[in-house]
Formats: sequence, structure tokens, C-alpha cells
Amino acid sequence: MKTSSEQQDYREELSRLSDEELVRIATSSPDEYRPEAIVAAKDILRTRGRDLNDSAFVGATLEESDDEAAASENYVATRPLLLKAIAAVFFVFPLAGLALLTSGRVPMPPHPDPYYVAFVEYSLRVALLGAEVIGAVLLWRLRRSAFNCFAVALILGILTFWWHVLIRGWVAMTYSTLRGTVIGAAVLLNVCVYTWRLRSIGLLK
Amino acid sequence: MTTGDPEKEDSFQVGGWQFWLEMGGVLLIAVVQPFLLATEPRTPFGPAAGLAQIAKSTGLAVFVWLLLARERKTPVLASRQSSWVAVVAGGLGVAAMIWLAEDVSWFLFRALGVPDGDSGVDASYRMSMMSPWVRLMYPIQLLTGAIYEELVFRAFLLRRLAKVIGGRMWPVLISSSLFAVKHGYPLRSTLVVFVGGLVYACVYERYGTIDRTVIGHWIHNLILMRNYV
Repeated sequence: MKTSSEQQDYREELSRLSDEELVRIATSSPDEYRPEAIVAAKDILRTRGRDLNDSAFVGATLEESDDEAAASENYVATRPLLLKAIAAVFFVFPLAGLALLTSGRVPMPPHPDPYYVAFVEYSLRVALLGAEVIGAVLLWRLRRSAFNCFAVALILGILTFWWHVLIRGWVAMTYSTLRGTVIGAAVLLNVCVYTWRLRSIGLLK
Repeated sequence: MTTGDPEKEDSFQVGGWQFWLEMGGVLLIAVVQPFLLATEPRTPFGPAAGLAQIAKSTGLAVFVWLLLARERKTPVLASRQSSWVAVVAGGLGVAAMIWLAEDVSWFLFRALGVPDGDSGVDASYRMSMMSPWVRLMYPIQLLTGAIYEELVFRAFLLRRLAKVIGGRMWPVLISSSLFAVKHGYPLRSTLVVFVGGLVYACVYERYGTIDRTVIGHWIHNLILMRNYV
């Protein structure tokens, strides 16, 4: 059973959508959207003074929405601002970091580790960056699998951290390293929770 | 402070000797006494002092918890309304926000020329952490301390001040100031702790429970400990 807080979360997410989107959700079948999302969409429309029993309004709104959809083959639901920001950050930052590393603009410290250690580290790092960039693209395209990519990135981040601990020991884990790790994990975990929520309300397909 | 949710509403009434006795007692134990202690020269502590600190924090946390349990229907620590993943994510997010707020405010206050001094905390902790027993029990000490501070400064003081003063801004500012003063640091560090207190208070205002702030507070202090080990 959903709690009032989860219902509130749905309301917050859906309140960013336009009337057209809300009407589409409110009039959809439970197969398309979760019942909680449908209830929340109806509530928000009611608070906006929109009457779902007004067939003229619903018909005109859906027709308008269909026209817009037909106008663009890549019709997508309205993207919340936070979604746009996450997609932009996770697309630009990993690619910029990778470009700086590969171009040699960021001097790498001499690597005293055996070859296999460096290989595993670089592989993990590239996989993590790749998962973030793919996740950002999928999130922008409102795909459900964006959550999976960010979850994989989080797991790879944790694996990278433990790999460092295993190879170099706790002594090498300085305050700034630990702080950076926690901040990275915090951001990714919150992104995972956010994308999961978007998936739950049916915004990610 | 009204949350709009009848389950979260406070049942206590402002005024009366009992209300002010509880407020005064908690302020004396949680703000005045630690501040006076902090003005004394800091000395290294051993396992016994660490255990005493855990006992003190736990005892006071239970005391404040009982006060809160009497006047509130919903628990203040464990949130029944969010999944544990969302709570942990929120806690990590709080830690990240605290670091960001501290970094920015430290830079700002230094640029403004706010004086800072050596409180002796660093040297004292560095010496204390040489004992393996202190290192072993310190995470527990930090956890009990985080629970106690969040219960006192957010769940208790912030809510009561909101009832007395009304509004949101002043209760947040006053509880964060008391939280900062309690640490007894030099001026610049006190202001940085004050900014951190603002973050905790805002998160508490948003969710109404202290689970996220406790997790964030604990992680922040736990990693800060790495400086001394």
C-alpha cells in the first residue's frame, strides 16, 4: 500500500508536467501508468481548476496533444528541469574528463603498479564513465534503462573504491579520497533513486 | 511549525513551567556545558573517556527521545514513509552538501578576513587516535553523538523554537547558532559549523525526521576522523 509521502512524491514529480501530459496520464489505463500516478494526475488537474468530466476540454487537450505528437516523430513527454540537468552533467563531465586524460593535459603520476593493476583500474574507470554517458543519453531520451546504467555506474564506482583499498590499503585512503568517493556515491545513488521514481510514475518508458 | 500531516503534529503546548524547564534543561546540558568544557584546554582522551562520552550521548539521546515520544505520534529517527534506499541516498547527499557548504563558507570567511585560531582539537584527536581502542570505539562514539545532536538541535530545539517564535527562518537560524556555539571552536570554524547546521536544519525541515541528517552527520564526521588516524 502506498503511503501519503509516496503519493506526495508522485504529486511533486507530476506537478511539473503540462495539462496535456496530465490529461493523458489521468485518462490512461492502469497498464500504461501506475494507479498512484493516475490518482495524482487527477488531483493536480483538479487543483489547477481543470475538469476531467468536461469532455470538450479533455477532447481538445488530447487532440492538441496528438497533433503535437504527430508533428514530431520523436514526441516525448515534458522533461523536468532536474532530469535535463542530470542528463547534461552526466554527459558532459565524464566525456570532458576522458578527453583531458587521453589528451595528456592532466599529467598522470608515474604508475609503479604492475601492469594488471593499471589495466583493471583503467578498465573500471572507462566502464564507469561509459555507463554514466550512456545513462545520460538514455535519460534524455526518457528510457527506462537509464536507471540500469546509473546503477551499474554506482556499482562500478564502489568496485573501483574497494579495488584501490585492496591494492593500496587503507593507508592510501586519505581524507580527500574518502570525501570524493562519498560525494560521488551520494550523487549517483540519488540519481538512481530519482530515475527509479521517474520510472515508477511512468515518465521513463 | 505545521506539517499539514495530522500524524506529525505536535501535541505539546507552549508555555507553562514544564515546557520551559525542559527547554532550559536541554539547553544547559547540550549547549552551555559542552561550550564551557570546550573553553578548557583540550587534552588527549583514552578509551575510558570515549566510553563515558558514548554513555553520556546515549543517555541524553534516550532522555530527549522520551520527551519527543510523549508529544509526537510518528518516530523521529526511523522514517516509515521512505524506502531505506532513499534514506541512505539522502544521508549521503546530506554529507555531500555539508562538505560543499563548509568548503564554500570556509573560503568565503577566509576571504572576508574572519579570524581563526588553533582550538587544540586536531592535536588532541591525533594523540588520542594513537590508541587502537579509541580508534575502535570512535565510530560508535560518532554515531551516538550524531543521533544525540540531531535529536537535540533538530528534532527537539528546532520544533520547539518553531512553536515559540513561529515561521521557519528564525528557528533554523537560532538552532544552527546554538549548534555552532556548542562546539566551542574559534570564530571562523564556528561560522563554518553554523553553515553546516543550516544544511542539517533545512533537511530536517524538508523531511520531518532525523534519519537522513543522522546518516549524513555520521558519515561526515567519520571521514573527518581520517585526518587524525
